[in-house]
Amino acid sequence: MTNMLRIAGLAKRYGSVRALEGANVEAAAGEIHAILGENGAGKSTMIKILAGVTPADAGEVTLDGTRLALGRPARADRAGVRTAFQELSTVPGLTVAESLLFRREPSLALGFVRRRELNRHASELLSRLGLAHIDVRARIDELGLGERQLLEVAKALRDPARVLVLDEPTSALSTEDSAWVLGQARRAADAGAVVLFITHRLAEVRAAADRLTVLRGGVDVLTGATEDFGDDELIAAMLGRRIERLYAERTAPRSDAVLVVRGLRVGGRVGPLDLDARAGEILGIGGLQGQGQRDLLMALGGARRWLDGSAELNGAPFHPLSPREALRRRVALVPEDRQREGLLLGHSVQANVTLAALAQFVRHGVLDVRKETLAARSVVARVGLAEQRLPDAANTLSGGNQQKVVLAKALLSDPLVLLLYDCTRGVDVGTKAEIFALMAELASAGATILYYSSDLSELVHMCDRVAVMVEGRIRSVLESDELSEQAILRVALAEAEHYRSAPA
Amino acid sequence: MSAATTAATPSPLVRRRSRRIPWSALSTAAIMVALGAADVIIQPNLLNLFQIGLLLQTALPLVFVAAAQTLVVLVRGIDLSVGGVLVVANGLTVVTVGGAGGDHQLLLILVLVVGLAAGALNGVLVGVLGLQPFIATLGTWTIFNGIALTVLPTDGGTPPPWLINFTLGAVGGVPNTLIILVGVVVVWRILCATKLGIRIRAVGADEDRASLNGTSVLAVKLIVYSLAGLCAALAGILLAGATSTGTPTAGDAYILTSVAAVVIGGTSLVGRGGGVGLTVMAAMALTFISDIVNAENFSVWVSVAASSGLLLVVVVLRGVVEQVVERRHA
Repeated sequence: MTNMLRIAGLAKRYGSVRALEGANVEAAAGEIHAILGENGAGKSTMIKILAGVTPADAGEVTLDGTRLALGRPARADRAGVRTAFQELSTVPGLTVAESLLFRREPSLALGFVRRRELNRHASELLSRLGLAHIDVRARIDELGLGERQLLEVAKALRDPARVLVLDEPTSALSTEDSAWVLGQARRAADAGAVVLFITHRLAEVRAAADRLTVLRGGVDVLTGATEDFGDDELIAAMLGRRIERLYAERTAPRSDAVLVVRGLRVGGRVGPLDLDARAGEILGIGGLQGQGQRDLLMALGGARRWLDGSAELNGAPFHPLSPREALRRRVALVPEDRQREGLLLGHSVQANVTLAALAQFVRHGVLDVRKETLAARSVVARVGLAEQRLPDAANTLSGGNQQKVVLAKALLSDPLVLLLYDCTRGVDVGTKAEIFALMAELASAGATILYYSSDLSELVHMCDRVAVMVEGRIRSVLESDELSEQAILRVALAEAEHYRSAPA
Repeated sequence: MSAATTAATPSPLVRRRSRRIPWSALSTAAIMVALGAADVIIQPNLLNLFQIGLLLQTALPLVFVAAAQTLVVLVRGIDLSVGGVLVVANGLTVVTVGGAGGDHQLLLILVLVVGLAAGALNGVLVGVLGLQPFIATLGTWTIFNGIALTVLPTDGGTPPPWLINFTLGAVGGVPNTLIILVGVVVVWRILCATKLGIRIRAVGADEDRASLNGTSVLAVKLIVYSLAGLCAALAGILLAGATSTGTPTAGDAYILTSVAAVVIGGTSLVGRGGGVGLTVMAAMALTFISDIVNAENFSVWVSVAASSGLLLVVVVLRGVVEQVVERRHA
């Protein structure tokens, strides 16, 4: 067949760890080809090889029968391989325009950049892609995670692609923005590119992918047309076993209010917010991305200053000025960006887990290492992480396991209230199921969980109620009997439409 | 696939943010102006171009060393060897260029090449061998100091007369040293407007991401460290011109002062931006301090203490202001 991308016998080792052991993928031009697999299945390594970030130990990548010279990002770029990286490649210190047109700057002799041209090209690119609302002169580090992810995709679409690699491009996006990404992927495929699409969301695979390949343990275990496989079959192929259920069984929440918030305002745009959360309840925080959900959870976790408002925790006034103070009141925050905000990457799993609660293990000013280790062991077991990993550095763990470490850390404080911000982002199905089981267990033991997720079906399945936020306010709280993906979207979008059509 | 093909448009959530006020630029300018004004009040005769030229003559070596330091700091490095490169260039200027009777002006280019090569050596140690900049340049600093003492074992020698005349000279009443000072800022602004400027900022902000985009981090670091070597060599040449002699032990005092100038200027040591323009203002502020101390006949240690005090005050105040601003924006 012509116009084929053929990845054959790709192998890569990192020290003693075999990331890829002869993986094969074949995808035709004009097709969206999904690559599925658990964290650690070798997907990321395959992407890195395609993008020229790491050289392969063995195997080759051919396009239309000719071998692609990869090995360096600039070379992969020249070969027509465009990659939207999961870890995002837009550089924080640059502006949107500089980042989008990096190494493509319109310039005069001696490398003088024509700044006006640069900004104009960048805005043209963004309006062509339907992202005209992003200011090209804004700095990348002023943008939110979702906005950066949109830009990452936009950057990959900057020039015509022969191979377009989208590595979990929707992990931080709302349903609406995800649809935009899938639409762009289809457009690129229609223009004749091979599109490789890596995602954990099976619904997106169904919506967008023509064919798929499942990786497990560094080899391809399943490949074919998307419609030939059921979800269960795909999950079983990814895990190598069947999981009983993704969403854990829930027990009804009790009636006593644990956390009562009145008139909370954070920053200029968020609030005033009123909230009642009961013992044993999982209260979902929904809505389009960036409507103040993050500020709400950060404020309750002591990581944002309150401008106004009051709260009660089990009847006593609650106003944490720092995450440390919140933890002392047994309110634990799990932030979104686990690498930046949740973990000391160079340190061991044990150090990370016990860091926030170290005072528990200190006697007469001396750390009781035995006690610390025992506590770390028990809590790590609860989140389903092998205790052999305790001495390993956090950055050697896969994304899913890193998330478990962050959760374990929160659990060590024996939380009354657990604030989870998008903790299943970029996490594989197996780990997701474990996290959900843990959430259900904590709730049935009486803990209150505030849970923000960008995935609507997770909110619907795991939550007792969902507070939908629009423009920094809670627009509506959906009770369990009226909870559905459509209902959440209706509140989130109807209000947004209303907002958009209203004169500013 | 129908859902995917509809032309979905992402939600209009990105607020156009107000341009961030460059606090570092404003505050550094304020410090420079305040200290300059104080200096003028103490010594009113400073307010003529000839006196300004003389003051700048003593200021320029620090300006160049600090500019070198800024370049390196912008890519999250530190260069302790700037003092070493300075004295090597200083020694070569009086021994080789001056020793040849001062006729061979082209020999000056040789001195600059030596500076460039010394900087490139640092670049190789940091970029290719992956040494910590602090350790690598701690080593080369000592090596360069040794070379300088070999070239010129004791204070002495004379630089070529035309160099001395040049640092004292003027064009149409404007001192050459003032032209050079403005030139440093102009060259920096030009560098900023080039692709290299963007690459330097990218590597400073995030090496890994810069390299994902196809930038050679190694090449950028080599260039940056080499340019720093060049600037340090220029500092050594200008110092010879300003003092009319060679001083092989003059370098060490410049090292930490250059770091102080970078920090007072507001360039971030952890890759959050900054620039040579800021550092030049800070270097001038430090020069005003020592000029005031000289005029009042205080001990030189007063100057050192005052400079260090300024450093601490600036860092603390800037931290407070930044927090307040961040809170307001959040």
